[in-house]
Amino acid sequence: MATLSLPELFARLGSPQRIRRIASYDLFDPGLRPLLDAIAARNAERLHAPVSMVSVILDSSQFILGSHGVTGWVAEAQGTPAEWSLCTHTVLGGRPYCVSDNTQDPLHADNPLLAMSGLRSYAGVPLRDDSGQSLGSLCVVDVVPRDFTDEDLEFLQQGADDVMRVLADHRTG
Amino acid sequence: MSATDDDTTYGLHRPTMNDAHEAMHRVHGVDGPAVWAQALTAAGLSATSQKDDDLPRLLEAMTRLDPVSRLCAQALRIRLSSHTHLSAAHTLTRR
Repeated sequence: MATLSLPELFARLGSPQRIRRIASYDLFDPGLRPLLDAIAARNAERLHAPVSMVSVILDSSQFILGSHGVTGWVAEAQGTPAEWSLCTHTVLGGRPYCVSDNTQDPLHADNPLLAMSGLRSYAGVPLRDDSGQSLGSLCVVDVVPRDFTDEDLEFLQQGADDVMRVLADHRTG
Repeated sequence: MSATDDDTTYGLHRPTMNDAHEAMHRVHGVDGPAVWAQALTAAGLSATSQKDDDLPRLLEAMTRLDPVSRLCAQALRIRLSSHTHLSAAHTLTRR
C-alpha cells in the first residue's frame, strides 16, 4: 500500500462490487453498535489493550462500527481517513496485519493519526463474509510497543468470527 | 507532516464537490453518471453550477438515495469531520 497514490488506494477500496457487498448490511441499525462494542471490549480485555475497533473500510474512510477505548475526534467522526488507517492494510492484504512499533516502521512513522494519538502497536484481522471480500477488520491498538503472539491473533480471529455472525443478522440483500 | 497549508491539515484536504463527484462515480461504476445526476436532482442542485458550500446538502441527498450512496456519503462525512476537528485543533495550538 505504501506505493499507492490516493486515487489508486480509493479505487481499490471503492470497487463497486466491494462497496455493494458492504452496503448489503444494515450498518446504521442503532442496535448493531452495542453488540459490536461488546465484542471490541472483550477483545481489548483479553489482549490487555486500551483500544479495540470493529470497522469497515469504505472507499476513502475507515468507518468504526463498534469500539472500546476510542475517544476524541476519531470517536466523534466515527472513523478516520482511509490513508491513515492501519486497518486499511489489513483489508488490502486480506490477512492478519501487525505493527510492533509504528515509530520504528518506515511505512507508518509519518502517519499523522498515530503521531497525534500516541498509539504505537497494532494487530488486526480481516472481516470476510461468504463472498470472500475483505470488508473490514477487528483490531486492537496499544500505546506501547509490543509483539503480538499467535495466540493473540487466534483470539482476534475468534472475535472476527463473532462480528461476522452479528453482521449476518443484519444482512438486507 | 504537521502544518496547515491553505485548506489542508496534516495532508488532509477538506472534501469538495469534486471529491463527491469522483467518489460516486468510483463506487457506482458504470451507473455513476446516472446516480450522480439523481443525487444532484434530489439535493436541488444544478449540474453546471455547484459550490463546495453545497456539499452538506448533497451528502444529505446521497444518504437518502440508496445504500451504496449512503456509504459514499458516510465516507465523505468522516473525512469532513476529521478535517474540521484537526483544523480547529491546529488553530488552537497556533494561538
